[in-house]
Amino acid sequence: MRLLNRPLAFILAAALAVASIIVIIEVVAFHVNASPLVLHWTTWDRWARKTHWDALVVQVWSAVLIVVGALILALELKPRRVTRLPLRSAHDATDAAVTRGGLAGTLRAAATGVDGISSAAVVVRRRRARVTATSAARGRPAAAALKQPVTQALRSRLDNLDLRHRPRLTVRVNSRSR
Amino acid sequence: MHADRTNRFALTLFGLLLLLTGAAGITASAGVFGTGFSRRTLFTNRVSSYIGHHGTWVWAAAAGVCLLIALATLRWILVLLISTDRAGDIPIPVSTQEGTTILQPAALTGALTREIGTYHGVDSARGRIIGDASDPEIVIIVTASQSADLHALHQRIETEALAHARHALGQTDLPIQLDLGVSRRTA
Repeated sequence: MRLLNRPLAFILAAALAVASIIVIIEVVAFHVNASPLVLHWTTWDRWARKTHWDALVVQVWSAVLIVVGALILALELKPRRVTRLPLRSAHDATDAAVTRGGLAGTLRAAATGVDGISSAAVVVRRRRARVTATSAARGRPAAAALKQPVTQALRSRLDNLDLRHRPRLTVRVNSRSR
Repeated sequence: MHADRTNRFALTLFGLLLLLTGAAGITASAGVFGTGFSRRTLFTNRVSSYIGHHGTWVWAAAAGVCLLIALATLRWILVLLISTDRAGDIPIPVSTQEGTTILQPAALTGALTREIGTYHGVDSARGRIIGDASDPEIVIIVTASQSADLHALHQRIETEALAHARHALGQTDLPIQLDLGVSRRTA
């Protein structure tokens, strides 16, 4: 979102600057009887003087403005994705955090470090970490037996990190499909 | 990222303005302000007739406002294109009045990342110094290996490398942002 904001902001700033300069030029040109100079605003003036509020073109443009405005507002007001989860620091001036990807990586390593687990998929969100581990052995009993040690390993890893706000852990162990 | 707040504020304001203009247009068109109004032309209203009667000073004022907007937006464009949030050379406080010691940000981040890079479990380390040179902030991004003990690494970085950086700048309360990540590569 931040990356998209920069080009959007540039387009808006450039459009505002150009529009403002055109208005200044046209106002000055009007005073010296040389208007329209850059923009044929007289055409728009004539159009606005003969177009009624209930015209289809007004409704269409109003709808377009509503949609574009709502899209921009939704984009700007949407809560930003959490990219870092704060850690407790000994020094007040240190703002230490583990990245979302970093936490996922260390949880994945903790899960796959358990004997019998062949792989793990981790999704970390603001308040939740969901780990789906896959057992090396086939069959539900094998997977069910591994849930407790995997959960234990993950909890221990999370406790050890000393996060300021520990995400809620959800663990699932699936058996190998083939 | 630099100018982030300005970008967000201006875009939010612009979005709100578009939404309100569109909503006003639809409302007027649907006859909410009266069926008589919806059958009028766009310029048959009080505001337009006021501008028509006082056009000389209204348009002069509009041009003045546009000049301010143009100057503000040009400054905004400059900030977007050429400015950076990186700090310049940092003056080091010294006890004597003879001369000034200047520390280049790259020298400090280089020393810091080299030191962190030697720690067990560190895959890579990057750093930059942001803010004003007289009030800098260090940002360190450390990528640890998958087998690393992140807590131990965090403690070590904080008590050793970050303490050294604060000592080097003579600022015990130097703000430092430390981001710990984990490498995707398996050891």
